[in-house]
Amino acid sequence: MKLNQTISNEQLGEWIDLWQDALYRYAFFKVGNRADAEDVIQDAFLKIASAERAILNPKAYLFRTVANLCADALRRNSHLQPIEERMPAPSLQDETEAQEEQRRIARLLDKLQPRQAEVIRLHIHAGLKFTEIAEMLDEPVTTIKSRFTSGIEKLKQMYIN
Amino acid sequence: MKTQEYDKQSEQIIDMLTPKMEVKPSADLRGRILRTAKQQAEQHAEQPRRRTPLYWLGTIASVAAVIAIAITLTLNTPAYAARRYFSEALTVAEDIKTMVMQLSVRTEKDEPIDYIHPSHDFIPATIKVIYDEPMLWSIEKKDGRTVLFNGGNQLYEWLNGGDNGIGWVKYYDGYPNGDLAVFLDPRLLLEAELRTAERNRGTKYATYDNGETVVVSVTTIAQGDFSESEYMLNTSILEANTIREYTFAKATSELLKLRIDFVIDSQPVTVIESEVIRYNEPMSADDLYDEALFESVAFQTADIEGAESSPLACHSADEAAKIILDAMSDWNTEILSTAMCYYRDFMPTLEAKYKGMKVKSVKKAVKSGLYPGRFVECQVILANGEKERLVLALRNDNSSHIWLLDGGL
Repeated sequence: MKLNQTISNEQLGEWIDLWQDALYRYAFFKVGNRADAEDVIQDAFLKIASAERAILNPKAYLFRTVANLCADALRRNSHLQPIEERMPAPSLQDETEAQEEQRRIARLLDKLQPRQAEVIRLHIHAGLKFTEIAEMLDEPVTTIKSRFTSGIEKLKQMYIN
Repeated sequence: MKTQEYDKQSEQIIDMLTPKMEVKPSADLRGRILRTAKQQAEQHAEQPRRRTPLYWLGTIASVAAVIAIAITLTLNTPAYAARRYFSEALTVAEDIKTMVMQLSVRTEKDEPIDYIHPSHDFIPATIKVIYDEPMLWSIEKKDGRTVLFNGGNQLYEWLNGGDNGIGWVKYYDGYPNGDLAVFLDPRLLLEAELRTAERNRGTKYATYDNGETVVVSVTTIAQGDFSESEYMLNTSILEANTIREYTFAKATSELLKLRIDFVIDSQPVTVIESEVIRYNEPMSADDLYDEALFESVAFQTADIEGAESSPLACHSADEAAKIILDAMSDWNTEILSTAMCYYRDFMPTLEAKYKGMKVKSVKKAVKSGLYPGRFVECQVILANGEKERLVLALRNDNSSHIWLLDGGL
């Protein structure tokens, strides 16, 4: 692994300040627990710090990396319970409430196609604009908007109409 | 969070999907990331730092601290747990008499047994082994290539061609190579994983309890030298970043299932997955292969003819590539019969295609991954005017040390 000489620790610190919370929110509501979400965020920032080539769009790179790492974590955790101890949460009550909230939203998103759910997560949880999601997923903006609206429409049919 | 203007009902749904509580990472996450990044940067710094007496004093203290932490952590880490499971499974595997493993492999049915690639569809394959002295075995890709060792010193390899299969008989004096061969003996596989777990360099472990089974997941980086070329990256298990997942029975420590994923752009792609593993079924050497199919195969030997006088002896891969390409242009059978002995059954087809070609460019021979030979990329213009890019695989690790064309056409 070669270090990306263009990224100093100061630069990395700035990126963490800018995007850590949004990345964490996205990761937490995707993987459903604090330990995995923090592992994913840490791995993503370390990955960008050691990238072999200059990263033109660090925000898109980080969100894409976190999305991929979340998928890895979900795959690893599917129907299995890790033996090793989970990282203790700062407050057990907060953690429990957050997990309940995550499960409530996950149940809604489970009704949608994965691609629709992903766009909704990136827009609502991570706060990304449609143009940013389009760039991150390398898809036209119209496709991204269409996935979002069709996802919302489907939930509307199920829960309101 | 910004959203566009929507009708009231859509707003209701968006509100339902919006978290009602703020979630934030641990306060020390930023510090942890920066500290780890700094440590990584220091580990990878190319220029050695000037070392003062204070540095050494600090180093000694740090080493002592690390050893103390390591002793504490070693007994309670996923790597330690993985070692325990591999070790127990290895003990159980010592008593296995026979094994039948059915797998799904991303490969092409007629390609060599050691060839897998994440871009291909899954092909069913069956491995049968009798753990005797010597170990007898067969690996069969459904409707495709089979390799068989049923004793003696000959290895049979053939393509399923119905009534007209073609095959090769090779001298066999050791353990087979290649990814599927890795699964012939779970003892060696578990042994290798156990050694890796003991070294634990750059390898991550996770263990999962699933009731009656335990899953050990091993995440490793690609082995081999890719500094000159990435041509062989992701072409074999060892030459890829992988996640290897082993499922063991908790009660017996028996290996029940295994799966291997290549990690490409952070995405896992399963390349090999066992469907069934059966142990200790009664089996004889005749059960290793389809005898009727075997009888229909026209076997040829792949001996190297005229090795001593061949111009391909003692040349570099660059020189050998030039000789072979020139010989292909003139279709010099004297040279090609040796250089292309692995292509013997396809010579008329290859002659029709490549005779009269012109070589447009040839790049320098490069090494890639764990392949023992070299790769030479070239561009040729065929007699009909078509351009073609070839990557010749050349190796000279035979007893005569002459360069042979091992692939690329």
